[in-house]
Amino acid sequence: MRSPLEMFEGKFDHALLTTYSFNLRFFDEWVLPALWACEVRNVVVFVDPHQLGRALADPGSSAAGRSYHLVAAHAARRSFHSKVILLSGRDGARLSVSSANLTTDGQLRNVEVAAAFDSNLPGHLRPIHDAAEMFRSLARHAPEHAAFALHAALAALPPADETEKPAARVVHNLDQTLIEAFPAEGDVVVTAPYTDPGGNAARRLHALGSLRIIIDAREFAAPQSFFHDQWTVEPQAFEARLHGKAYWVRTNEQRWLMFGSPNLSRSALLATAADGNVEAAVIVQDESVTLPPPPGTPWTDAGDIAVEADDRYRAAQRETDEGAPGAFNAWEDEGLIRVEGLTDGTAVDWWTGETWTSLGVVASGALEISTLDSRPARLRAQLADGRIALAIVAQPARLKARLRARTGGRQADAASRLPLDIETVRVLEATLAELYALSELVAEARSPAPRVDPDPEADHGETRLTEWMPRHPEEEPRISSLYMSAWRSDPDALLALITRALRLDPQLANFEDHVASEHIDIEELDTFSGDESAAPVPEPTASATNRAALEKYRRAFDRLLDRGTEFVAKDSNPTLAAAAFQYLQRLVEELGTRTVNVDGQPTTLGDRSTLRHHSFQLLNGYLGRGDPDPICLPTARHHLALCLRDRDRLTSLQRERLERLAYQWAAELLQHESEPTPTEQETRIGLTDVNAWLAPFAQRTRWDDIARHAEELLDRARLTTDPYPILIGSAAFENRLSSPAWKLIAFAAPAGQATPAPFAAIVHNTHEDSHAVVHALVCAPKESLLHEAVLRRSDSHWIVHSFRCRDRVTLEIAGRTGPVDLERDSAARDLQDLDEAPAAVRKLAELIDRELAAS
Amino acid sequence: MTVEFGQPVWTTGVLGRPSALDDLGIEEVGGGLLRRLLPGIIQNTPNAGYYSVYPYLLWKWEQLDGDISRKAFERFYRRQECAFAVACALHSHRGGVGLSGLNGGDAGGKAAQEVKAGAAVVDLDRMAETYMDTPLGGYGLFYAAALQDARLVRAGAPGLVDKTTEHGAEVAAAFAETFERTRYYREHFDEGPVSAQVLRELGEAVCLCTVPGRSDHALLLETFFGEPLTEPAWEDRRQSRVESLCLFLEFHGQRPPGARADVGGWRRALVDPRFSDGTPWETSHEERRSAWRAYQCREAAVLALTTLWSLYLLELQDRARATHAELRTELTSWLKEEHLGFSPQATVSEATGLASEALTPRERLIAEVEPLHRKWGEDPRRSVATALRALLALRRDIERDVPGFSELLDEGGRHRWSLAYLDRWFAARESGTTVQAFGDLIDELHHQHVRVALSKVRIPSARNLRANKGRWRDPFCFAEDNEVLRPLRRDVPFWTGARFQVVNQLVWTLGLIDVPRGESSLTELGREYLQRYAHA
Repeated sequence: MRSPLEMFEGKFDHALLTTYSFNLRFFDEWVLPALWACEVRNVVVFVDPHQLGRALADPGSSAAGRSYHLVAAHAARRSFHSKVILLSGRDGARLSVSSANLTTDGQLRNVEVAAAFDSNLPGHLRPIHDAAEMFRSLARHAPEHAAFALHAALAALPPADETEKPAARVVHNLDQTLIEAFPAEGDVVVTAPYTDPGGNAARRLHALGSLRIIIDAREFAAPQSFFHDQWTVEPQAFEARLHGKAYWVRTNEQRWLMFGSPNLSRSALLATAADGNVEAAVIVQDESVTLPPPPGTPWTDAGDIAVEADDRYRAAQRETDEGAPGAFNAWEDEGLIRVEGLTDGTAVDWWTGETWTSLGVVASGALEISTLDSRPARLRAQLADGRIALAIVAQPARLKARLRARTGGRQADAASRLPLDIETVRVLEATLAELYALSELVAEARSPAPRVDPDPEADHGETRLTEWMPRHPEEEPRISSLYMSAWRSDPDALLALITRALRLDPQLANFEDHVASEHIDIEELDTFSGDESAAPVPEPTASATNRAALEKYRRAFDRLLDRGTEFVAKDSNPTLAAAAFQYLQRLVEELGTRTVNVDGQPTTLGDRSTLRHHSFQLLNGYLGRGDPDPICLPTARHHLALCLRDRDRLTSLQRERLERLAYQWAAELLQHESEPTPTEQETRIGLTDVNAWLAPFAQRTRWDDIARHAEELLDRARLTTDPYPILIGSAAFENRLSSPAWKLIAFAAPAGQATPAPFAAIVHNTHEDSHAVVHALVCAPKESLLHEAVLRRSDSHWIVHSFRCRDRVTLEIAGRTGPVDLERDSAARDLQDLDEAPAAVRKLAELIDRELAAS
Repeated sequence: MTVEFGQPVWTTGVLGRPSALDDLGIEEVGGGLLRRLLPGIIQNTPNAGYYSVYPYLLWKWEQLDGDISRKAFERFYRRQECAFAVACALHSHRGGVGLSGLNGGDAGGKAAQEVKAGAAVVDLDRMAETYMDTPLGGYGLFYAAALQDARLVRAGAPGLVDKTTEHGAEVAAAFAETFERTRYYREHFDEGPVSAQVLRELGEAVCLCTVPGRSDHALLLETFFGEPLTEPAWEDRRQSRVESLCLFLEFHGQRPPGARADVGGWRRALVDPRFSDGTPWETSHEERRSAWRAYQCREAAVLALTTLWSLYLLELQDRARATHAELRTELTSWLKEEHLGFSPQATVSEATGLASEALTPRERLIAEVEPLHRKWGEDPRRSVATALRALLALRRDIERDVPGFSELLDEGGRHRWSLAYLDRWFAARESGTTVQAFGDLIDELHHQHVRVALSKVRIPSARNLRANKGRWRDPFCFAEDNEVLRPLRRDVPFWTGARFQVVNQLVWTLGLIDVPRGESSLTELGREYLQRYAHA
């Protein structure tokens, strides 16, 4: 075992943890995501109050109090020193008892001693229930909300089996001293990093028979006198710091072993919590279970170990100075913050705006906060003895809700087994970072957490936005309300993706690559032939998975994107819809470009045709709202171009909708070129190509461009807008069927059909042998009609035809084949002049007469 | 499964070799600003010639119907880069200057020495096997991203070879005019050992120093300067690059004889637009220069903060073990009026005014912090005072709203200690004493390091521990347990190089200045370009 955290595997619901020293960031960044990956949602951590005070000196934001209970454990007169982790839930229970604190050193650096138990293994229920009994005792010293959570965790334990032979027992000193658990006599071997100054515990153990103490020569701290007593001290050298504590006792009858948190000190071994520390340890009496000596080598340095240990001991005495901060418990209770362990009259500050600000004075064990416009998250109290005490303010309502809401099973699967390569994760995190930034922008003034607006009539836009997005990257995603309302029941990869649980690779902090480049002096560049650790562009390696796993996640992503599309299309908050649109399109891009190795073959994470469908649906949903945010337009532009490029792969219905979107939006999207654009790598399509795909659609929606197109078909082409848009010019054509007016009216269809007003094309025929002198087409969208008027050379009569014209597509058919495939609305009429023609055509009469007179 | 349930064990630990960069996470911001101010030119791309050579190799591979897989391209590429490296190493450079940044320069230099010692041929294919570890040598290591930003190359999909853009193809074709006339190309391009004479001729034709007047010269100038582009995203980058290059050319063009011509002179002029003899620096690109001023102010702050951090770690190392509180107490005790120029008991507000006054004109600020880069540990007490004074003085600069400058003040945000955040942070302590604020700052640096280091290590989940069995690198500067810190690794103060050396060599290879180092002056072409782009 490399770390007790290694036992975090499986599906659980609850976690109870105890520790002496505690690193808040380590827990938030490393332990909590690992617990989430096991679907644990109810977490209670007990920490020594003085150590917690030190941990809280870092005022940065934390998930403590919101995502987990963090309790200043006042159960010990001296130090709260036990290191126990108990998981319970669907997969039963797991327990770790060790010497490892919840710090980087404890879990990842030191040589610690540990044992893990699993309720599914024979004999393991007993030690698990021993630990549970210890937690039950601790609940008596915890605030009510934490005690409630603790009991919920214990209720999920598998029942004890009194008949089975225990593999080990877990002991603590809440009621009885640990020394009472030792055999009455025997030869004792101990390893521990600390001892009490008087050697009381060592003396007591030596009295059992004999005592040999194995120490880490570089780290052991004790007064010099300790080395000159009756026992044997055996210094050893270790690769890492030896922090484990273990006691072997050999009697005539048995071998006895105890290990865990207790040091070789009076407070640990000879006292109960009422007079000393709180400790927890495992006792093994099974001959088949052994713990070898710690992995050291004989110490060979010439230095005087006793002197050095004495120096360290004195330094340690200085380090535990009286002025060190402590910690107290605090929690919200409607308009109050209740505090535990502070006397009335104590002045309390809260952390806001990067500094401590006065919050008030404790009265009746509470502080009034109803007048504040923010929720205090971190408190500092000035105690009567001049010391400082710090606290996290717990939010019991939120923690209870968390306890009730079971995490979706597949969500955690996504977190732990999602076949994403590291590049994908980077991009997803980067996307989230943008959302953080947006969130900060909106809600900066209300740091650290928004208060729910009690006014139901008020605009909830900002509140909802901040609910969704964590204020700082350190925080847990605040997705709950959105998750509940819009992403309900989704087996969502979303929450998993946006938690830091996906930080699976050490190179995530890729900014180091850039920094490495900046560190290189150009004089050194030539030497980069061997050590190329500064390589700025590491080759990505694809993750490996199998087809079934990939399909599973493809389905999960499909559902996620379907729900996302619905949200984007329907949510009343345009800002949120815009952010979701951006995020989801980015996700589509990533899924389409990132690959995993499936049975040895590189395969894209998403199925391309499915992703194309999603991309289109997102575009349709978002642009269909009609209120696009300018920041989304570059994304929309690129994806619209991509869809147009691949439109042959869409269904006919989708193609039709796509073209409608393109005609509606292309011109506007092209106008927003000055906005930042996604990089070509993200979309695999260059800006030039994007513009090329959109331009034909944009041209047909702008009358100036249509007029330019008319110049290619007609001589002396021009556009007039009175009484409505009319394209006029001349050309030579044999008969009405070959008139360029058909092509022209079809080309202008998107612009013309965008309003109910008529539009027209008039062509004067320069072919003197043709029967037609003038050929005019008038489209009247309001009536869904296309009128054709031909001035006959032989008698100067107008022949007027009317056809049904439902939409742009009808006109495009006319553009290709003339009137042949159009449905007649009425029979052709032979008119002496246009005054008798339909209204829309009648309006052309004056214009045509003028033109004819001029010619 | 690595957990043997029920069995007591000694944990073996996970973290191993201490190793990391940017321990406070604040150094990357300066690099990011530089990449925005000078798109297409990074710290490792000081040779304009490579902006032809690499597009040419990609373009030629396509012309030859080469396979699109990157793997297939590698062999071809590596041989050509080796040939180029040896050819350049054999060449006597223009003006007798020493040229930096020759990719594969180590191996190329060795081959050149062997030639000079009498070797008749160079086995390029063998050399190509080992001359650089990175499969695509200098291109993969340094130039690929820059060439993309310079609109010459488009990145291929993972595993596939990159492609030239339309402009990149033009540049490549122009380079081909010269390159493909060489005997190397005509007779030895594909494989086999090559005679020293052929490589010498190749160097004469296409060495990195031979760009001026060559067939691709005009197009390279267009790459870096050029005409306005229709696509806004590219045009923004071009304009930013052109204006920034013009600032460098102005610096060399207007600098009076005797005024400082080194990076120190450049940094000082950026924060206070005058040369070291007091002559004002007139610019046609005021807004861009303000942006560079924001960059330089940011870097001064980074140097100050990393100095404090380095001193904190140095003190920890001296003590071998200490609590953070002890280190804080020690460092705050170093603040003395004799070094600060004001009492440590002065309020932050007063200290800000006094520090700013003492470091006016602003070139004094750079002059004061500059030595911290190399001499920070010589007199720790003075270094602490210098760093703190600089941080306080910078607040006055931040207050002034100047186009080009103000927009960049929040670069890095709260988590990377932007200048705006620095100001807000001090403002929150305005009425407290300087020494108290300094103590808080030491706390912040400690916390900042822990946050940053934590972000550099994967979560020690069961899956990750199983999948990564070796020791993971340890990104922390100290171990910390039971309140006590133990040193793991030191750090040194850092600020980015303001692209001074890189751009000087780059514009020299383009023929715009007469020497790449020292007292550079504009060439006639340099003057012409400066005039042409005065109001780009």
